[in-house]
Amino acid sequence: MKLLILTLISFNLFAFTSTTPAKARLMGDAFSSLASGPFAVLYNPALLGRHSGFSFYPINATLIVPNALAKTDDLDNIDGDPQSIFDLVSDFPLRFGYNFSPGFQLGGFALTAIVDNDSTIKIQNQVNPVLDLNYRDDRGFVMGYGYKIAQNLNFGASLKYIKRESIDQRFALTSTTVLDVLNGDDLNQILNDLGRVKSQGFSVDFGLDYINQTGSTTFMSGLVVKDLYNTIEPDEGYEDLNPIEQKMTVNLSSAVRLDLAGAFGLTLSTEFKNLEDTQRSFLNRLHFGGELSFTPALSLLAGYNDHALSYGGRLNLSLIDFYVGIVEEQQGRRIDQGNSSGIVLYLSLLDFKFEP
Amino acid sequence: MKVYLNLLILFIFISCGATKDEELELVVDEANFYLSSLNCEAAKSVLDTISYRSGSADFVSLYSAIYACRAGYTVLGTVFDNLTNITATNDGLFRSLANFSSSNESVADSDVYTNLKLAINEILKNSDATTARISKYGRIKGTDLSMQLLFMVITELGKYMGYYGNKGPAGEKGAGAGTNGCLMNYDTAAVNSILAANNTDSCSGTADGSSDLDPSDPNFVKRSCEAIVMHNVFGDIVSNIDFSNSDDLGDLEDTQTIYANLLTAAILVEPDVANYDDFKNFADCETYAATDTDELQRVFASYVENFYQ
Repeated sequence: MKLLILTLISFNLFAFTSTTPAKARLMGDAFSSLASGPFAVLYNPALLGRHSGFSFYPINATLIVPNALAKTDDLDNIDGDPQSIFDLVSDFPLRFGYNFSPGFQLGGFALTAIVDNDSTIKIQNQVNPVLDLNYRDDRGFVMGYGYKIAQNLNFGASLKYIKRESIDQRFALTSTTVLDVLNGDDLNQILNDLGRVKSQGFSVDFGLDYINQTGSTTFMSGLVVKDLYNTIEPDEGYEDLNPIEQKMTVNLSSAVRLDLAGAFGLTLSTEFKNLEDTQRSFLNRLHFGGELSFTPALSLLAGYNDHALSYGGRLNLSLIDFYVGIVEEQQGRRIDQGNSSGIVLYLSLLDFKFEP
Repeated sequence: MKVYLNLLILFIFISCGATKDEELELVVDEANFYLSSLNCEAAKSVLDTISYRSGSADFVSLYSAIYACRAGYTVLGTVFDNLTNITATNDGLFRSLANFSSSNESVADSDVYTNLKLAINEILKNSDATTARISKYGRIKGTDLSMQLLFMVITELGKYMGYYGNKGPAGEKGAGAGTNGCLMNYDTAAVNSILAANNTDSCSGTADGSSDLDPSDPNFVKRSCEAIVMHNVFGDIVSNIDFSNSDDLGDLEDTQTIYANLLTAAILVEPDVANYDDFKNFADCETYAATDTDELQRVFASYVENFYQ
């Protein structure tokens, strides 16, 4: 049973941050003015006001796994004793995740499914080691509508339904409790003993999007309030536990795109996230991203956020869209706690657009 | 555009601070981070940015860990390698603790020893019994705190026995470089019959103990109560926690029976042990013991001295 649970947790540890597409990750998540396709409604529903015709996104998947390459030197030094294993993993949070976001857009309306698994395992505290398990599995959908309210200005709103299973607990690594829990026979009981909470509810986003094209230059800016109102509450029987909350966030973004000669293009973007969160450092909330396109099929992407760098490439063959890259993420909210490092892969198949 | 700017300004001004729970979560995460690199003072500074949260097992655990950090103590580095050497026999239990690699004190009340005692006391002052911790913090968090406490107590008991007991190469009492055969330097003949009940160790009677554990020493009551209270705490934890699923904890599971046997024997030899075997708080023990140091010596002889051979 112990092996089963560890395998289960390992399998479920395939996620990063909720429904964040690969392109956003590779651009430092400075993406709220640039999101398109099935992700537009997730980032800022006002972006839907830019869309016309009918678009269908049937198959897309993002996968994130820890970047073991970042720890190759430390792996060589492991000699099997608990202290050296602690030294290896203590400053290297393991982040895993997957998400699928099939959906469609019809004019300014969009519907996207949410299948998002997001987990982090972190080991801290050399004196009395603790295992910090943060696990979330979301299923649901989001639908939204965006429309033009003034020249160059779009407004949008969206409604999400999320059914969530989450665990947000710390366990003493050298205590008997974790082993006792994992030695149980009933899977549901084991997950409940680990602190699993089932919750569900609706949530509402609002956004504004400003876009202005002058010649070959396009300037974009957006303001989005995510989860301004939500009803996500623990299910019956889980009222005494704390689910991972869907907190309100306010993000301000802007981007500029230069379409140069031929297919050559440059996009630069910035985003100030979590305006509402005064506990986070300013640098932690400031994101930068860039994309350099050589042809419609090939581009390079990079991003930066508070000492965390991301970079990668995109290959777009019309019906096949593929991204691969390295993403880092700063761990501390107020202080620099080092970066997690992951490899991100994204594959989208058979997207098409019909413009009458 | 005007609407856009007005909304932006509005949200900048209504930005909210953290709730008390969020503050606690932040400082717990950051203190854990600092303790990953044994940055004890930075961890304490972070915890001290909010008021003391005795209702949070994480907070209490971290405050305790900060003192342990100052003692240079880590569970994996200080305790785990020694656990497999624990001997769960009547005559071998405390000898094996004294033989821990961490049982290396060369003076009484060293900084290391004192800080580890503070770490132990930090948990005890918030909830002194295993069942009380589970009742206050829940089964998982309460048990985690008890396990944190247990590892520190066996380390500290090992230091105590090793230093005051003049341990030999295998941890045996009275076989070290010193001259004393007992832990305590008894000055009452009432202990002789008690000590005679255990005629297999090096301690034969009065005036054969450590000069740092002499009734005339101003720290006599404090030091005597350290052993008694840690003894009680050890017994309470091993009697109330199930170790059966924990292969890495050596013979700790079997110490429950050993402890029960030894306690029964100690009370049989000296009934006043029953006046002390509930103290799980240093201050309570010291207050009681100060009124009758003869009783303290008799109890110590039966309950501590005879346990360590």
